[in-house]
Amino acid sequence: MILNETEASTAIRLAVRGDEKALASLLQANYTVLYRYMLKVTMNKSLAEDLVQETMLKAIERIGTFRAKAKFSTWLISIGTRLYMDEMRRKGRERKWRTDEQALQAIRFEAAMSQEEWPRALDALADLPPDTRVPILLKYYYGYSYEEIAQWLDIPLGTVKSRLHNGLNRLRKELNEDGEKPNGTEQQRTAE
Amino acid sequence: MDELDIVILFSVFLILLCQSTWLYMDARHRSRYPWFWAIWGLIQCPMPLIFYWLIVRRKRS
Amino acid sequence: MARSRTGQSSSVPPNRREIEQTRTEAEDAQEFESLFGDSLRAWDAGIDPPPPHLLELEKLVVQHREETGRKLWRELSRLWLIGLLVIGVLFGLLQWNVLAFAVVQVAAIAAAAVFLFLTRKNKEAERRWTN
Repeated sequence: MILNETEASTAIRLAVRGDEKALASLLQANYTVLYRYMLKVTMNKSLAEDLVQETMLKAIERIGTFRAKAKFSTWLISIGTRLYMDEMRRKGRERKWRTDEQALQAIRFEAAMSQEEWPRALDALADLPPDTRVPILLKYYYGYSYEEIAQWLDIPLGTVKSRLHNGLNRLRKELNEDGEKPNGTEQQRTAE
Repeated sequence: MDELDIVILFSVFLILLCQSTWLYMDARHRSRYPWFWAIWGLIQCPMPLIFYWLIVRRKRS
Repeated sequence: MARSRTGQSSSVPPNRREIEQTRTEAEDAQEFESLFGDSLRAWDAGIDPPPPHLLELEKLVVQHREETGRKLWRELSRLWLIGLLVIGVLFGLLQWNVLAFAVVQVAAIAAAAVFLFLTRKNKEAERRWTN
């Protein structure tokens, strides 16, 4: 069920005041966005699914504090981000990171099932430690601001910028070492 | 124990319980140790509230 | 799905360093876009999880609220029971020996201060969740 802008803002107003149907419709409308985000961030389908569920439960708990002016999807993404970072921190995997090859293989396989060629570039993204991959996706793919990222990860602004910088360097290096074309498909590498 | 004592006892009891309850409910969302604040709030007043405000509620610089 | 958002709102003209920084940031963004943009969007298009039914979600909301409410009342009852005990003991102490009572009060502040000092770093664990 897709909500247009008016429907969404009405639903938000109702949901903040405790209406279950409104909250349910918001969760449903934003489910796919949330799922896609969590899958990209975790690179692990089962973890992503767990976190999506946890995020929704947290949202149900905290809907009373949601500021109606903001976007619901942004709020869900901020909750999901924090849950993921907490999970990684708990397992000590925030910085020391070894790509979960099995999980990644499952993702590649599933992508192949829907006839998508798995771009090799995304392997490089999967190799990044969470505390780098998350800011990179949030900033360069989703377009969130430095301030938002700093707040969600609870780190200073400067740290966000340095992680982005280092992350990009590492990605660049890994893709160049690979010798592959950037998107890993049959395209010719064209000078930008 | 005269009547005044009982009134005072009951008031203190209520104050401490309310302080402790409020601390617990608020600390659930903002602190890692809601039970610590709750128990401290049963023992004395208003020190737990002051410390709570300074440490958990005030915006960190 | 990338959207560009600028957070700048200053009325002062940016100095040269800021201009260079913004340029590098834009370059970085462009670089990422060229390396990963298409791959990510293609992957995204293929990710199509079946969203849960509206009724399922409604049930989830109602159930979770009930469960959270129940847990809260359970915890509060425990707290009040403990409260009865603690306050009762403290009052008994006050009646029996005022000095001992005062010592306990001071000790409580000291112990709390020590605990807070030792755990000051873990305050980061529960952050602001709103927005």
